[in-house]
Amino acid sequence: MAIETRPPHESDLETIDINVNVGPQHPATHGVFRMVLTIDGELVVDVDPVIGYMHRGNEKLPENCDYRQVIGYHDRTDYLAQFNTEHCYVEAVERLAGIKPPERAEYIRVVLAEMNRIASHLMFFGAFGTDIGLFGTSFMYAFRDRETIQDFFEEITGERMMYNYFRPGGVAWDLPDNFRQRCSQVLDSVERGVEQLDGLMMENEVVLARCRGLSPVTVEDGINWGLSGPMLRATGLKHDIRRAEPYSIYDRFQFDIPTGKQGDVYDRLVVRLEEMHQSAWIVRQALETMPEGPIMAEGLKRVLRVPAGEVYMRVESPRGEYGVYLVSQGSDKPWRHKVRGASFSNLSALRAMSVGNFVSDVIIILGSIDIVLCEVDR
Amino acid sequence: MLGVLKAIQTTVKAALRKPVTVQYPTEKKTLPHRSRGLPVLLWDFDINEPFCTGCQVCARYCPVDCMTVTMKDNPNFAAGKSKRKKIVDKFYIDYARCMRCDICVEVCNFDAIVMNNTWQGVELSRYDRQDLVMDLPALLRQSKTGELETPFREPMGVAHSGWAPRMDEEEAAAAAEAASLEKHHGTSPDKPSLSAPTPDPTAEAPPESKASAEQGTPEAAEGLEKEGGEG
Ligand code: SF4
Ligand code: SF4
Repeated sequence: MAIETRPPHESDLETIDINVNVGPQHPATHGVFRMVLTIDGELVVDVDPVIGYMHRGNEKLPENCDYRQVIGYHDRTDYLAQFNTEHCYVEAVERLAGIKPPERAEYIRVVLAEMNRIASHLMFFGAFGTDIGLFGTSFMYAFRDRETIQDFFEEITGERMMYNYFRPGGVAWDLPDNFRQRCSQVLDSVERGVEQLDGLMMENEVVLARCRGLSPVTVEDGINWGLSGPMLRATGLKHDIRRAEPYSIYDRFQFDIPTGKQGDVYDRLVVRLEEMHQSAWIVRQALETMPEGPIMAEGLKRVLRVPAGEVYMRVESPRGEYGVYLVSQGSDKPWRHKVRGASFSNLSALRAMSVGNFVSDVIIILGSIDIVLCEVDR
Repeated sequence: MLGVLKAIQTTVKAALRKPVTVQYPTEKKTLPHRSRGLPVLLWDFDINEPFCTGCQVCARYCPVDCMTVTMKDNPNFAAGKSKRKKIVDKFYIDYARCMRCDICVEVCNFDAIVMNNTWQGVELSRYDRQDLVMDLPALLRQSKTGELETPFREPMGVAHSGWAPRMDEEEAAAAAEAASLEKHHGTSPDKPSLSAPTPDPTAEAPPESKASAEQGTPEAAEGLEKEGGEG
């Protein structure tokens, strides 16, 4: 394949394709992920992704846990979007058990989940900058602002990463007193940081030269490959679960769904950058209308027994559609607990997107998927 | 070309502002009040004994099974000094396994355990991971020496997060006794929900697995506990 790119005098020589292992321990693979690249010179003719190094049984373990103990495992499924994953799980349990969380709890969840989306996208920009050769600069910029958000989360939940804060029926404890003011302060500083990141990356010659037009994906392909989240929106399809199937209280907020034009790597960046602004907008709206009141549904038993049945709940996590499928048989533990990881489905399109590109571009394509290996392997 | 200039302008601007990092071992960030370090036990200065009655509720709810607790008769109760009939005998937490989930704090009916929110905790870098298994004196040290000035414990935390209704002192003592009875005889005298004595009579019994966990030694109980799933 693609022999014609060789200089003429080389094509007379007999050459063979060679296999190159990228990973599992490689900074460009964003975790323990292995790609077996078959390359012909610099051209990639085949990609064989090898996953499973991070498998910890995150779907099976919760089947031996009380419904409330499971929340901690969801933090560890997608460790960059903990609030989004917790949100998905607790909503799944609530739907199955028929619990209605109080208004304030819903607002708290939305605010924190959207802040978490910003933090996750910041992480993406940081890591992606490293992939394309901006070295530490974008990483440091993004981490500075992500750190602000994490400090803010620590003030609320006590933890920097594994929050374990949402509960079926509400949230664990109330917000600190100065929450509103503190939250807008954090948002302001983060938005300034996003502006800087914008200036650093989006018009940067290096980024434009390397990302524009790289591995464009059409809408049909995107749907057929099972892409979701920013990857799918970059192809131009306006699909966002917060709009398509509003959960929690997302139907009360105004926000735009940013889309790309041709689904190339640059569009994926643009979509994520714009999503950060949209998330900030949602948080501001929620802060204005957040009511006072209880944060936990009344009348919950100490042992949460969920009526027999099954439920599939999906949310828009920063990486795409994160889903939880629960089957209950009426006991205090889920009988079946299945997680749909957005990165897993997005990653499955890697081969189709990379074949025919250069080795260095495959690294960028992988980076632009924004995978979290813990979510891929679970 | 303009794009590169813009990027460089951003970098130059950033180079001129103050650093945001803190040089950790010499400087430390102030921790928020809610900060969740590793769990430690609280010391009751009025009676000079731990708050913990050794009821094992926390050990049973710990998702990673890193706690081991045993209970004994309280000598201070016999002497009439304390209201606690039972008191903790041995308490081990494996800090290497703890995932700082806060569940033990939320389920404890006696406000006996909190998450450490100071910098002066246990140094976690050790040569042997056995050294991270903390025993009772180690767990009580911070509270006893007053290092743990204002532990965070949401006043309504337990009820709010839906784990357990509050108990008053009498109920708590009864619960402790009942738990110990159950531990010795493997049966429950009156209430179905011993480990979770609730004022609400309609409240449901604890999961079946909890009952099985009562019968063995705490070590065995921990193993049993997780195997008791319905699936
Ligand atoms: S739940 Fe509280 S009182 Fe019971 S053993 Fe644990 S720390 Fe002690
Ligand atoms: S914080 Fe969680 S993991 Fe750690 S001892 Fe308590 S219940 Fe167990």
